[in-house]
Amino acid sequence: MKNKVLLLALFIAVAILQAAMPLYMAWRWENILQTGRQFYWQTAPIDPYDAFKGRYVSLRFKENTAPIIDNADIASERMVYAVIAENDAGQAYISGVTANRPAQGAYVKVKAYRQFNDNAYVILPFTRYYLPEDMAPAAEAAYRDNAGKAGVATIRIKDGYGVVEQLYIGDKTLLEFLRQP
Amino acid sequence: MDKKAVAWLYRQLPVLVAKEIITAESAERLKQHYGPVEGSTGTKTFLLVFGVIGALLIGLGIILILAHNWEQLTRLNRLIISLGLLVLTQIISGWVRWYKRDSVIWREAAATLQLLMIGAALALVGQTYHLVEDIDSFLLVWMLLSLPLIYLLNSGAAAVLYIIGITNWAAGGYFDVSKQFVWVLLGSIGPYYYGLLKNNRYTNTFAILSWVLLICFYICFNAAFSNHLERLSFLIYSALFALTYLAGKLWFAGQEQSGRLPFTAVGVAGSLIITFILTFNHVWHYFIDRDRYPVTDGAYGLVLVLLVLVTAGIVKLAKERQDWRFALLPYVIALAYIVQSFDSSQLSAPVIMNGCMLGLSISIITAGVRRCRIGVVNLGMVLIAALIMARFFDVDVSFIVRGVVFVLIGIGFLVANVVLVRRKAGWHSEK
Repeated sequence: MKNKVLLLALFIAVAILQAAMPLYMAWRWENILQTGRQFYWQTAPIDPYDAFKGRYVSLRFKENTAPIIDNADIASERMVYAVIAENDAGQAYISGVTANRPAQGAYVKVKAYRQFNDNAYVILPFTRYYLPEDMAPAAEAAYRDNAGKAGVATIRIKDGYGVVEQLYIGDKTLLEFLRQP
Repeated sequence: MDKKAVAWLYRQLPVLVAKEIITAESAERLKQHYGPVEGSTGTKTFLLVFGVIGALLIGLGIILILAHNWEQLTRLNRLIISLGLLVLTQIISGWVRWYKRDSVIWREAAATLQLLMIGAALALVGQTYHLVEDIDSFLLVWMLLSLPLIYLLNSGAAAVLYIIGITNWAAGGYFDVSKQFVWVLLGSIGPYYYGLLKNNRYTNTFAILSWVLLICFYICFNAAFSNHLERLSFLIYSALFALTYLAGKLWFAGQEQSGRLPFTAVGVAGSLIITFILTFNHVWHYFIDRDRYPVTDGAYGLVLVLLVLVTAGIVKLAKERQDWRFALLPYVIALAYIVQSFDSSQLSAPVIMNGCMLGLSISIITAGVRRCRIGVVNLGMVLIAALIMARFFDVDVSFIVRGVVFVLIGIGFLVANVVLVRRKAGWHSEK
């Protein structure tokens, strides 16, 4: 009898854990979307696909190198912090890379590789934007036609994590752009 | 207890009674001792396989439908859908666990479906927030959350999917130190596998799980260590395959169904492939050259440990009076490595391996002839044919040397043939 109760408790614990994981993930990213700081980032996407999550456009950010701040020791395969800033045109760029968590301002946890002497090549973690199956190829084509000129992603950033909020071509969101006649 | 063996015994009992080898009373007591055998296991297997495949297809189908990425759905709707499906399968699993626990079919199907719905829920959240594999470590989280299902529902299907999942995780992408965690993940299947080994070693589940586990072990090993073994990798793999072979011979041989288990087959196949690769001159030149690839102490240590284990296995096999010669292959390869590092011409090692492979093929053919097993004879033939083909097209060796060696070996075969025929004739006339 005692065994049965224990087993039931175990079963419920496992079930709660299984449900809690997607819930926690959803909360964590939703929180960033709601309260994170918004950045506009120039992109150049292509269209691959993921067997479990569907089609996406893969985002390639134009600004992907930055100076290393405070002579930090950037060894490859280590997570470091990319400090994010905005230029005069309101577009985001990586203003520096450091091994220590910045006390203030926006920053993202990234993988970085040392390049030249005091520059680092940064791999930003938000490189995908999932799209409805039938729209992904059209989105890629739309981006190719407007390459570099008007491809912009808005990213919400908070506590070292970032979420892609929306993709824009010109002043329209990607979905609006695709639906227009 | 092997159910098929019991069924066979029950079929024999009337015959034994009729021949008065045992009394009718003894036969009855035997039946009481072993208990009833369930009839028509074939139908049950079919139901089980269809149940699991059905659950698998439904689960994968749901994942695909969600992967379409419905733009009508808000973020909240997506979350409700993914959690709803998950909770539904959890309820099904709970019901099966308490009210249908004796039904293998229900347990396997429910576990399969729930495992896939965990993946679907995680994938849908990942899709909603545009997560990249790197930061949500999708497969790893999925498999960790699925691990309890194997034990709670006692499910072989979940175990197989789990092993395939963690192998994909380990082998996919860039392998850094954190992926050595795969050994903990593989090890966590241990108690379940051991339980099967103890209680159900004659089942299909055990055979299938063994195949998957063994193949995935090699894939994980390759993913985890291939960058650190350097030029010793061939030796290490040959020792691993020899150990696999020994395990099959020591622990799983002699049973009615040992042929269904993977150990001997994988051990033999792997060993033969490694031997064949090492007969190539340029493999030694490009991959095993001493000066080009220095070896770490760890790799030497691993070789030592594996060779000690192989020796222990050989000793044990010899004590049981079984044929242990095949397991000597790692030693031959080790010898070739040692010779290679002293030989400046770099030719002795390939010569040793060619001789080894030739000898191996001939002994396989002889063994096949002796036991009248045409399959074994053919295996030996294929090996010799592969060896001949490879050497014929070897550009490293001069035409004259190749030609002379071919002619000599050919003469050797013909002489052996004549001798065999004469001996056989003599044997017949003596009779």
